Amino acid sequence: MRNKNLTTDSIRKLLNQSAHQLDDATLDSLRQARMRALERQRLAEEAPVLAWLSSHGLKGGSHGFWSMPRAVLALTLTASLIGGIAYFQAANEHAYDHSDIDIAILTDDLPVDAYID
Amino acid sequence: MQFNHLCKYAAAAVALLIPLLAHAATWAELTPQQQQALAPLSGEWNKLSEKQQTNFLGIAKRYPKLTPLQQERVHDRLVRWSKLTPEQRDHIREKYRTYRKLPPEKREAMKQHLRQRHAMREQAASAVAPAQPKP
Repeated sequence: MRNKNLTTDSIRKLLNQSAHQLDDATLDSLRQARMRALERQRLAEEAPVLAWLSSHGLKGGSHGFWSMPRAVLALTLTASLIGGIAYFQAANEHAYDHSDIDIAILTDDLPVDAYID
Repeated sequence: MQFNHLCKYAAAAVALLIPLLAHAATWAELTPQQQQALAPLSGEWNKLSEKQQTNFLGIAKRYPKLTPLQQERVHDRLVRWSKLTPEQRDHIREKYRTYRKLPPEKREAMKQHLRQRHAMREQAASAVAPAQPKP
């Protein structure tokens, strides 16, 4: 029944009074927990994908090269690999593929052996 | 932790890309259209080098656009073409390129010359060939 008389302002005052009674170590732990919670909330709000990557250990640390998100690094590596292989294959096929001239020879009036000296 | 994840991703990417590198295909792996175009080579396809296979697959790709007469010529000559050495094929390609660059009248004269020479060679070969023993 008494709770019905509580207002937002009175709750805030009560909480502040209780907080003042806590020792420094507890206050410090609570402050750190609050910062962590706020950081998680900020990530989730600004970029759900980044938050998901972060929670799955796919987003990098905070220094130098490794500060890039790991997913970006992995995607860059994969794209480079695919590009390299595609280039290698295209160059390879071009080097081996004489099919344009071969089809002309194979469909010519003269038999293949006529061109052998 | 970071490096481990990166390695896992790179390994997965490489594993996915390895089949692309394995280029040689067995006869059974060819499409029905490729098999039809390269039918005369069915018996020896799996023995051909990767380079040759790549080249023949290029021919198979162009085969459907050929006229029936051209398709017949390709089928008649594919096996002979595959039996030539790489040097012989390169030599023929080079000669054919030169031949195509000639003006029409010279090209016709050259064709006549090559045709006559080929006929004489065939004649000589049949004369030299030993008679088949009677059963």
